[in-house]
Amino acid sequence: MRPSSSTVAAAESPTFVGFGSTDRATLNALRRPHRRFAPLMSPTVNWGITVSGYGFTEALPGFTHLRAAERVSFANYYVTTEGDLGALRWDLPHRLLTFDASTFIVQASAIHITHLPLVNEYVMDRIRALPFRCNRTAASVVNTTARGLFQSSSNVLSSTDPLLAPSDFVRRKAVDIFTAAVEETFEDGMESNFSQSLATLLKAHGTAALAAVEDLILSPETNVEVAVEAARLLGAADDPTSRSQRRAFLEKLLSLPSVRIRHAAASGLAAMDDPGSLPALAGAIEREDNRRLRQYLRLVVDQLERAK
Amino acid sequence: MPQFVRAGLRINRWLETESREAAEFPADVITDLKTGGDMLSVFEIGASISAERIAIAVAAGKQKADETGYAVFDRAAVEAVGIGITKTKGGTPDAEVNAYHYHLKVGTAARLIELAGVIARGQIDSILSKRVEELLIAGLKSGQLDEARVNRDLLERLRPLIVG
Repeated sequence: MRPSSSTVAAAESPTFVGFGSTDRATLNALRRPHRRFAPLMSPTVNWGITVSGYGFTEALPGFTHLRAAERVSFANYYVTTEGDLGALRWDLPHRLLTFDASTFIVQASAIHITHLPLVNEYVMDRIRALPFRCNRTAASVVNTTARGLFQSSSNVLSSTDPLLAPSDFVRRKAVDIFTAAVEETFEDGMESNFSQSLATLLKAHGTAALAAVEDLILSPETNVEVAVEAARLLGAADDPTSRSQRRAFLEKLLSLPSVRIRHAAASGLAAMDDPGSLPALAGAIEREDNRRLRQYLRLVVDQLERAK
Repeated sequence: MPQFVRAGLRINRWLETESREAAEFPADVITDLKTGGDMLSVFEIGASISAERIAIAVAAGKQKADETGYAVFDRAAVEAVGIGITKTKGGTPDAEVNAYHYHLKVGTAARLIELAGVIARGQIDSILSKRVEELLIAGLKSGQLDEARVNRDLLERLRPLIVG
């Protein structure tokens, strides 16, 4: 069956990012700062591409074993789209990409994909449905040879690096949830539509959702009551994989100008019950001018001291 | 001196009330003073009824063991602003606490704001979620909290811990 190729061009700044690695040592190196890659166990080469900070851990079973070499050929790789669209597997022509035997990241202003004609329309429909900055009019099935389009960079480790901005899709979802929450009245001990929606978003979109929520909490345009609730919920979230990131973020919030956000951060840290936050809380007590918040911070410190 | 407790406060809303006139309080404060029939529910501290016990009795009506706040303020201060006080039976899962329940006849929005001032001048405390959970479990185990009247969702969450 003769393969055809398809082109999806991104209209604006690069949207696609990914990483590759070639051996167990590299994977271990990746695993240390980026624990989300823990499931990557194969000593052979795995190559993945992710979109706007998504990992491909769920796409592992079908990965093709690749030969480690300075220039490699491979048959398959995975593109994970916006999470809820699921992972797509596309067959690539040999020698579409070349990369060296070390960790790298690719960014592309366009991605060319060759796949079997039988799946053309299915795949292209999914591409057209991608809710980010693709020039959808350029998404088409064409009989051209795929071209290499990726630039490598050796100084960036991972596509799920938290420095990467969340995708527009996840951000929009988060904004919608925060906007709807303005109409709600929050009460300690009671579930809210906001708490449920936020939990779902974090579960479905992981790191990208967390980054979007963090941005919204920090935004001066966010309703303070909603930002407070979001910060508290981050502390109570049942997600061990993002625990260190959430804790670091809440500790950062302890220095914000808003006394209500500082309180919410302390509340979130109390929910996490991690003695590792004691230094940050001690510093917050030192700085705190608000008597009631200082009293609350001491309460949290007492609890965390007991948790040691 | 008799003291009232208003339980179920969200302390976060009360952080910026100190050294302000009640009329200048952040508006979110009023969210914690939801009236019914122009009346507000409070409890009185008794010989064997502490403010913490009242707060836990109220927390037993919530869906999950979350942190909770409460304010302790003087009954005399309430009377001084002309708010009527009526003793009624409370509806918490703690029967003893229920015997110390009162309705404050607030009447008008202006008086509610005055009452907010009285509450803010009182002592406002928090119980963190971990402690709330411990106290709820202890209350259920001792029978202080009537299991049949505890929030169903909360009970389901706590049941494995009670058994343990």
